[in-house]
Amino acid sequence: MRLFIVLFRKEIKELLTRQLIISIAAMLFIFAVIGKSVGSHSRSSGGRNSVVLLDLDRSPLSARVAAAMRGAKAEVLASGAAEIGAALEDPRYSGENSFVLIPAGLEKEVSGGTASRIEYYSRFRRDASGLGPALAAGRIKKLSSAVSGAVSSWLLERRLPGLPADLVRNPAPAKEFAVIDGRMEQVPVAQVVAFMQSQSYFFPMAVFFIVMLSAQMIMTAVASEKENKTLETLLSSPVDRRLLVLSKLTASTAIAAALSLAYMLGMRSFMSGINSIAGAGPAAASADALARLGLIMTPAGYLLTGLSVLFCILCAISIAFILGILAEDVKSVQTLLRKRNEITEAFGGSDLRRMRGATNEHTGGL
Amino acid sequence: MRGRSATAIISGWASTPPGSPFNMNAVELRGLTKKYEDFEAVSGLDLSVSTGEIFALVGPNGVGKSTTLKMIATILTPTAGTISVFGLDTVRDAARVREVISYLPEEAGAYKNLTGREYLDFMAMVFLKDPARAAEAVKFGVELCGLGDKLREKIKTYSKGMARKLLLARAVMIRPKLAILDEPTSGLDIINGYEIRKTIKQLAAGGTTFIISSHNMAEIEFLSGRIAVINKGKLLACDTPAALKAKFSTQDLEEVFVELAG
Repeated sequence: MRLFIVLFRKEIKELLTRQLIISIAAMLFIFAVIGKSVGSHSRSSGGRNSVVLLDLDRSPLSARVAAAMRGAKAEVLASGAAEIGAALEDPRYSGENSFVLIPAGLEKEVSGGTASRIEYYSRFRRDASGLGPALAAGRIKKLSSAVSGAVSSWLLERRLPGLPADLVRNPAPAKEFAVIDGRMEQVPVAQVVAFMQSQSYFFPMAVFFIVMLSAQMIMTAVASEKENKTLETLLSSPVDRRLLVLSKLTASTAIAAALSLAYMLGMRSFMSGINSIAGAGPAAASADALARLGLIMTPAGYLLTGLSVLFCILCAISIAFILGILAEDVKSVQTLLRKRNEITEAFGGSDLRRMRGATNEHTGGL
Repeated sequence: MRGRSATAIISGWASTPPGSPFNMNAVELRGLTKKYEDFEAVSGLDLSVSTGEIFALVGPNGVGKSTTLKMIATILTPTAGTISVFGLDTVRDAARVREVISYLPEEAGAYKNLTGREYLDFMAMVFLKDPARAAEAVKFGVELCGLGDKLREKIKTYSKGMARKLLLARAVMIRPKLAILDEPTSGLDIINGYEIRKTIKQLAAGGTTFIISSHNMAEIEFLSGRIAVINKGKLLACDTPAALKAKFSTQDLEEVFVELAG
């Protein structure tokens, strides 16, 4: 035990360098900043609990539906618009994400024994982190169950004869639409959310690993040249020093390019895997809907994404190269790398997400 | 205190060019100084080395020998003073100086995933740029290092001595005009060290100038035309081993060294 403590103390002394302490402090600071910005973003996008209601039926039943929504703790903003497009474009509701449309003839159809569909529209930006849409999906679920309950009770109170049991159980099934950057498709919001989240978490994660790998490669290459004193030999040779830097950068980039190519191929099969799961059975149409919303990447989109990943790697490699020169040896490379990764993750991650949004914008229509 | 008086006597000769059969000095150090923040590694060194000479820097560890060699090899720039290599300034004409020198750092390594042969091929191209000349240099290098079939194996499988032989062969196979060797035979056994010393002598006879540093007094005595004894960045003495021994009335170069540096 005593020997263990001696060894343990030696290891702690070896590991706990000033660089590490600074790195820990920097990490705390960066995560605090990220947390703050994400928090404010979420409050603005997901914190709202209001819903814009277009009542085209204007019947006692529709009034009851609105009351049920209020009962589900939603702030209901009644819109006088005659159709959903007008409400979506209404500048008064430009900050609103949830819209509900009660179709004309709701009361008549339901009392006549046919189900009437209430339409739910969720609007979000394509580069949303996934938190806002996830909240929107939850809100729709809550609202539609409150609405369904209200319509069922209304039907039961009428004691109308000959109503089918199925209708009484679910008289107003939800008809969900996703509105993304002006495109509108009928698709369950939960599916869109799942898809967006898979993209916005999987993508930066994979890029993070490539960047880390390629940066580590070049930093270790530079630092080990220094450590093995092979660099001194090269520097005393008549070879142009710019050529030395260029060859190192090109070699690392070539390997990083191979990595990003492998990543792109992997991403493609991963995405087609997701798409085929989505395509199984009744949800087959939703893959098309996702494509029309501009969420599924086209080959050109993959190419652009690959290029943006490559340039991101190039940036990281250049920073890493400089850090490699500054590093005394291979051991201190590890500490420096950690610091650089935090920076890349903090800034590059969100940039890439934005970039992906832009990529889809350019290619979504192809 | 004898050391100080000896210094006073000898330091005056330092800048005196030795009787040389060649007109131009291969290397000239004038007031060479290197400062690291508040530490002066080399202070005001004046030396001249003539062409074809084997010149040795001698002194305890950490007295500025390696720093001096690095400055001559254009890897470090002097804080003050100048170095000229065959008339070229190592700061202003660094690129041209690099074409005529070859530098072997102390404890240098090689690329571990290359084979010995690949390493020689690579280095020959880097230094000579011309495939035909490089091939010729590699042929010479293969012969010099004496590693035989082992050259086909990766360098990471080499022993310290084998790696050193390879690096030395690399340094001299390109037949530089000036070879700067920091501790050339450190880590080599007696036989290998002897062979390397013989090779250095042969190459010097062929016109290559050598500046070496060493702790091995026997090696210095065998090899060097002249030696410069350095301590704390300053030149204490510069002469042939025989002259130094005569001056201190001893048969042992180590004793001279202790007298001067101690």
